[in-house]
Amino acid sequence: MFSDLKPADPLPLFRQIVERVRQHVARGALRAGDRLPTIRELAREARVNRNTAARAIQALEAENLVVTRVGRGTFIAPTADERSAELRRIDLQRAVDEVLRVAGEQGVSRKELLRMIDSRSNERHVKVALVRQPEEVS
Amino acid sequence: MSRVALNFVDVHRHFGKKVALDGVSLTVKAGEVLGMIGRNGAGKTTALRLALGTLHPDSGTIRTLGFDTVSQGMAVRTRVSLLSEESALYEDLTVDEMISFAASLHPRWDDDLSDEFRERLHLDLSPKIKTLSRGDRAKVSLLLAVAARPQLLLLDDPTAGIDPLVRREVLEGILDAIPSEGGSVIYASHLIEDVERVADRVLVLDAGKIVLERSIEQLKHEARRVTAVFENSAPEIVHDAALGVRRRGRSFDAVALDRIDALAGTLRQAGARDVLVSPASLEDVLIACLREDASSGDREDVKEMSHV
Repeated sequence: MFSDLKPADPLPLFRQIVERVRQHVARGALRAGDRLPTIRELAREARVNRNTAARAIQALEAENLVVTRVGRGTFIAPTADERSAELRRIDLQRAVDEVLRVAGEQGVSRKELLRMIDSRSNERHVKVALVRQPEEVS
Repeated sequence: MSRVALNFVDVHRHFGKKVALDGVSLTVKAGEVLGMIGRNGAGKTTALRLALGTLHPDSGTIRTLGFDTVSQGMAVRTRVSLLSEESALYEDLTVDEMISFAASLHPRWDDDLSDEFRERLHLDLSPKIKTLSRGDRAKVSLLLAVAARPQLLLLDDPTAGIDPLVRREVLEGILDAIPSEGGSVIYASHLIEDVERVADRVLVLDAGKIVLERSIEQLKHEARRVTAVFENSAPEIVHDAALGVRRRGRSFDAVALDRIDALAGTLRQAGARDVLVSPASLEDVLIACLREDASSGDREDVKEMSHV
């Protein structure tokens, strides 16, 4: 899960570890009560130094995604399962922000962008299972 | 024990006419891993040997683990390990004999740690040192450096010239060797990716001077790559914030650590059609710093580092 971090990525390594955990929680691959590796194990698996592994755990604690029980280890927080929907939403929001950023750079209007999203989502090869609201069904 | 593992104040050292270190001041805290980056001849090895006390400064003061490296050299050398390509290995000894010999020299030697590393690194005890591959020699040196349980571990390009698979093993060994409590490490290398995995903070040396010193996190947070496209060929832009500027045809490319908006503004004023600001990698930053520093002279060897 942490063996392929990318040192060259602009995101610091400890952040990349935090992101991995968040993504796993968002997808339900990690659930409340699951144990995380110890700092030593994490450092080994991710091939980072222990300070970096410790920073990642601290950051996860600060986001209330994990809880550390002294002498027993670090676990995914009890509230994580309820938060997975929220985390997924944040992921989507970031992707939207990125689209908006590029559109802004290119000077594309809001209307144009919305039209593009609409037409793209209808193209067969990108057609995704977007949930349609009842009133939209024609 | 001192909370500061290493302290250099305005250290100068030259060899004949060549200036190796030119007024270097630096501090390594206890428990910190400092990455030292620079080309061959930038002063990395000199700095490490000065820290160990096998070399003395021309001027300036050095304290290692609170000891004066000149007057208290023995105290320093029993607490500090240096691993370098020229690490003293006795060619006619077997690996086993080499380990026993080193154990007899070091008061803090840890047999369990030695065994653990021998297993981790898959080291065979019976061959003579002189028959070992470069990778295996590096492994033996690493084991010796680590099992002496140093409070400060100095690593001088420990993965240089080792094939990628063994390099990975050695790097993992180094990461595991970094003491969990209070011990400090200086990791000098020209491999930026390895430094990034190992270090908390990075220091760039060029021609005996520190050209950049920052935590990796801070660098990644601040550094931006600024690219711009011009209608015709990119004009020569002079701006303090722009590091490692490259102009190719219509495009302009630089790295900036601060005043990014100001740089972007200057580029737009100069007629840039499209200015793009994106996150920069550590490699982008370091190459830009070295290119910047070399631009006064006429040095093309920066390229060497961008290809590793």
